[in-house]
Amino acid sequence: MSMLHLILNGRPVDIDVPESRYLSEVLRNDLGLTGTKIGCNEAECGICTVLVNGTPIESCVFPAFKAQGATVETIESLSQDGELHPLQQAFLDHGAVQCGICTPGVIMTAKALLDEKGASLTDDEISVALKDTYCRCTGYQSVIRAIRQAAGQNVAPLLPNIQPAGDSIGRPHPNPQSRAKIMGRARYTDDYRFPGMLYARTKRAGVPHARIRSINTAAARNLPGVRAVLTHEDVPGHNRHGLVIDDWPVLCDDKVRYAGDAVAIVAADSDEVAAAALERIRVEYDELPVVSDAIAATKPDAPLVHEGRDNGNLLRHIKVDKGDIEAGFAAADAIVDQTYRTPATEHLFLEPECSIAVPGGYNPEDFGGTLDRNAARGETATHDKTTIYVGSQIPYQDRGQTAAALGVEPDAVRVVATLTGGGFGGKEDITGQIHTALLAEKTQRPVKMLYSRQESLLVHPKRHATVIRIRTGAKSDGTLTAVEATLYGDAGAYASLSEKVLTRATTHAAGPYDVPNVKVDCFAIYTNNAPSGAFRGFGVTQSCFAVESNMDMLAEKLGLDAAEIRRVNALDIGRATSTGQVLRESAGLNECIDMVDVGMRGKDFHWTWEEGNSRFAWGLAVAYKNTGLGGGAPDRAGAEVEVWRDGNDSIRAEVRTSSAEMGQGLPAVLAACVAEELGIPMDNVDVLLGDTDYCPDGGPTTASRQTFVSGNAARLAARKAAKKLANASSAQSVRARYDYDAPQTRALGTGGDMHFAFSFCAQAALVEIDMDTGEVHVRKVIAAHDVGRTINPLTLQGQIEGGIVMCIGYTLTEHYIQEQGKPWTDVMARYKMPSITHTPAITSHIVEHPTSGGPYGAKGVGELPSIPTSAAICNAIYRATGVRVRSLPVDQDELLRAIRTGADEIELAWGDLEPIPTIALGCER
Amino acid sequence: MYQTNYHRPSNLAEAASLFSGADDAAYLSGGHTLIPTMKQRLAAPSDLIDISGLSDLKGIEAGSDSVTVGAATTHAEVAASDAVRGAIPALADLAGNIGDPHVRHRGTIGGSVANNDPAADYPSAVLALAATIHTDKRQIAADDYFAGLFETALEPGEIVTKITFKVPAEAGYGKFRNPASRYPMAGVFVARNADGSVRVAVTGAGDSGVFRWSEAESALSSSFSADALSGLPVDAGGLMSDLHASADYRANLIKVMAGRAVANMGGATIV
Repeated sequence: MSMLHLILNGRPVDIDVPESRYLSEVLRNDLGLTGTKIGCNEAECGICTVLVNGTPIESCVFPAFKAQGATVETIESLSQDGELHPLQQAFLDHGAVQCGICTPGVIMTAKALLDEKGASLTDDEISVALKDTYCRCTGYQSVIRAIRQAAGQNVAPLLPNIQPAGDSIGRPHPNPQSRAKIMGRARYTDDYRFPGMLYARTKRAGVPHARIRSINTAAARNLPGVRAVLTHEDVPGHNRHGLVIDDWPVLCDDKVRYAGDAVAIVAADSDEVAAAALERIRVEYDELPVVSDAIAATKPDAPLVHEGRDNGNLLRHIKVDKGDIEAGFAAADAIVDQTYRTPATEHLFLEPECSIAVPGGYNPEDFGGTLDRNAARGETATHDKTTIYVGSQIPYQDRGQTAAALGVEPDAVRVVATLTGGGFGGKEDITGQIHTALLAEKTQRPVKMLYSRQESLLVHPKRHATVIRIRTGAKSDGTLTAVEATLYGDAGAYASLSEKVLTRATTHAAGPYDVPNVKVDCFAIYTNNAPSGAFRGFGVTQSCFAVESNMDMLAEKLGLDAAEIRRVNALDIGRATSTGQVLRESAGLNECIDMVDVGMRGKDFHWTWEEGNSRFAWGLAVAYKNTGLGGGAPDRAGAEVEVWRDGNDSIRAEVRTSSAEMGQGLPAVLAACVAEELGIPMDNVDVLLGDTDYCPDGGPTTASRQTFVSGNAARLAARKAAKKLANASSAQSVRARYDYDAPQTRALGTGGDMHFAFSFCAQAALVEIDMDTGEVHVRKVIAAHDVGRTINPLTLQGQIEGGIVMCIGYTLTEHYIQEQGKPWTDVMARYKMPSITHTPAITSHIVEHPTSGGPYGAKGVGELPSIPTSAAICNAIYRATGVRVRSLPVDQDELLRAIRTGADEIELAWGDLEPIPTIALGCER
Repeated sequence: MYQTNYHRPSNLAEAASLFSGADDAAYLSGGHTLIPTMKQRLAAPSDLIDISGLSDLKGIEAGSDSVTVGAATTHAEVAASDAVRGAIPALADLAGNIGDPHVRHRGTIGGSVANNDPAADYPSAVLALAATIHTDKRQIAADDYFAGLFETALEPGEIVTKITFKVPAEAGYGKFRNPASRYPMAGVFVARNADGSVRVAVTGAGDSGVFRWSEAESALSSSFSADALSGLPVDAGGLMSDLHASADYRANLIKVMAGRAVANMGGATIV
């Protein structure tokens, strides 16, 4: 131990700490300043930025004693006497805060820039300074605007041009949690420190496919400071979990099926001891042949990932059948038949997974802590049952799955959802929830399990890699006559949500068009890769790339305009989807196409042109995405609203539901719905999310469903509460609960309404291609989204900008690369996430075709913006270069080679992939 | 961090003695390479000797035909130095475009040159400008210094103290960044001397680190223009090929970036 002296946030601090500490550790662990966040711990993401002697540093790799005697500024120092720093205010005003995990780092990097450059700073300087400080949610545009405002420049928040539908509905309002986030007061799971808490780690398989011969934990157990080491033998209940099929071992017993499989777990007095204990666990394996390609996995001699199944590695065959496919193609004047590949990709939410479990009967006083008898949750509260703190997208399913593993009833477990530092679908599956609960109950101590970035990359489900063959036929006027498609989806080692995701890919494989004859077959296939699961877009991102690439090729073949061929076929009221659902309302696709088309064309329009060694071109694509679970699944959300009069006789309310906030802005939506019904200001509404002992079940936060279902539940609960309040005495508080059931849907294949609402959009992308290097830059995106009704224009703008930039990453840079079941992208430095340098100018138009069942007419928007961008970009690349990209991400190396050799297409994916077989379209298995 | 001793010596002699007295010591400067390596447990020094604050290693001196930069000078300091900008503006621009502000305020020229990452920017300037690397024991010419990936002529414990660059008639730098790491995937530093001779050094692309592109040197010595490079072959044989780019692609980038450097002498052209 040595004495470290700092001038921290203006005050001298002397603290005795080990010389091996990093500054982030001293700030967070020793001094309790948890406003500084850790995203990667490898100096890549920049979210741990603090200022040392006025310059930005990454505190995760900064030895604390390097700051000996220095001034250190953290996010906590920015607001003075309750006054926000101009940057903090600007981030609020511009909605530049979503999940908030990166916000402290982004603001501190921006502060250094602002201090240096002052009022004159330019967009370019902002881009240079923030080049390696990442944000996964916002798409950076709002961040740039906010920094310019803070510099004193006259920059108004960019908001869609809509008429507000109410006093709260349609009005811009920062998300209720944003204020805490910009001040560094927001607490994510890793920011909690319970008295007596232990630290846990997981022994990972490391090998992608092997039979377990033995697991020896003796040496680990004997290490001083180790409190528990558990294997499958210590799971008292069901040793499997899974959101659809329970095929995923809590702790592996007979074999391991991917490199990230969990074999043993350790709880120890410190993270260092837990890590050392892992190295002492000996696991003997008999390695098995690995299958790491979905098509290879369908062959008769392929290694079986799960034995004893009737269909080998085929997890599910999903079909759409409509009309007469042969007759459809016979009627076509032109047919395009093309095969596409899309990669596995990583959510890269900037908060790695973290769970803390607190054992039943826990009292902080037993470990020297303080007890607050009024505290409902947190470090000062007693806990009467096993309680898991986790940033989760599905608290009630976490609860049920944990209870099953513990061998107890679901209500013997409580899940408290903490703030989530980004999810995007990647925090729906179980990660550390069950493991910490097992360890907490075993040791009777709180147990924290924080994944390292490397572990996060290794373990959680990815976006499905797919191979998609699609054949599209049309008449000479562009009218589609038939679409036939075959999709192979790499489900990875466990089922996760593969069936649901690939069902969505299948049902959306004809695009947002009225096509009379459709036949789609999709195969979800087990491999020894990381499991695949939910990821913003939920399978539609993949099929849209194929559908919309084919549409441009068809337009070219028929000599039609790209916008026109889409208008001719666009879904509209009275037209039918591929599953036979006839739309009766809320179908604004044509208006979206028109707005984007007008915005793109302007004066002196050209599809493509040259400037120096660059070629520019526009590309267009459209998309639709269901709101809600659909397919016959009951889609229910409960909410409770409590209303009371405060001391000033103002009406206040709290709305409670288990639905998850991961940065998308749900609390602002719920607060707006409740405020609107009660006729009170939004600031008078508090939102409590995700505590299963206090909040009704809002269902999973997935499928762009929460605005619709939880929004309705909150709205209708508030309406009930308002009636009760009218009859209550002035001193009383009233409560009302509403369990909202979304309109009944029908299962795939039974006809009728498979979904209760669809959102639509069109996007045009302007790309620049450097003809000397093959580099592709997206310079502009013009978008129009039909969202039914705008609840909050500020958070809506953020969803659209962030979604588009996420899809730019999907198109141009991102690829989760696995070689024979082992990830090559095993550190953040190898995964190409878009930075501020990738963000284009974005013009977002909002179209409002209200849906009658939605709250005030609203439908979902969380996923939609992230769907058509890939095809828009690749259609533009084709126009600029004559090269059709059939494989994502766009490989600049291959693109340049194709340009130079005069090739007209790129079909490439990493590794020695199976050649795509001549897939018998619509084959039966 | 696992158990490591951290030292901040006050002079070079103390640094050297700490180094020789430790089991397995490592010198620490900005730490952006060493510390992530330690976190991945690919390195586990018993002692970190932080030499970034040594006054012996600070400072920039400009003479009529040379510029000397102390090893502990940060990239930000080099970028902001009027002396460097006045003598070799491309060097100041190179420094100003390394990494992000976090890296530029902590990373040092000595740390970069001692580490010799095959994708670091500085080695290209050191080699193209025929610099001299001064250590606490000797002076090493740039042509004798770089010895492959992360390998240099430095002996264990030897400390780079300063680097002297020859001032060329003009210089330029073109770099193409890796979309993931943002390190150069090809960085080409071109220096034209008063006698008409030209040195061209390439970083980010070579299989064994920074190298001189002799064909370009001859071509540019005869005719100093981007056109002189257009017909030149770049041998992809000695180039890196990895998941980020093939050797052929890097070969093309070298030519393109060299051309852009030549077309924009007196600065850095960053893609």
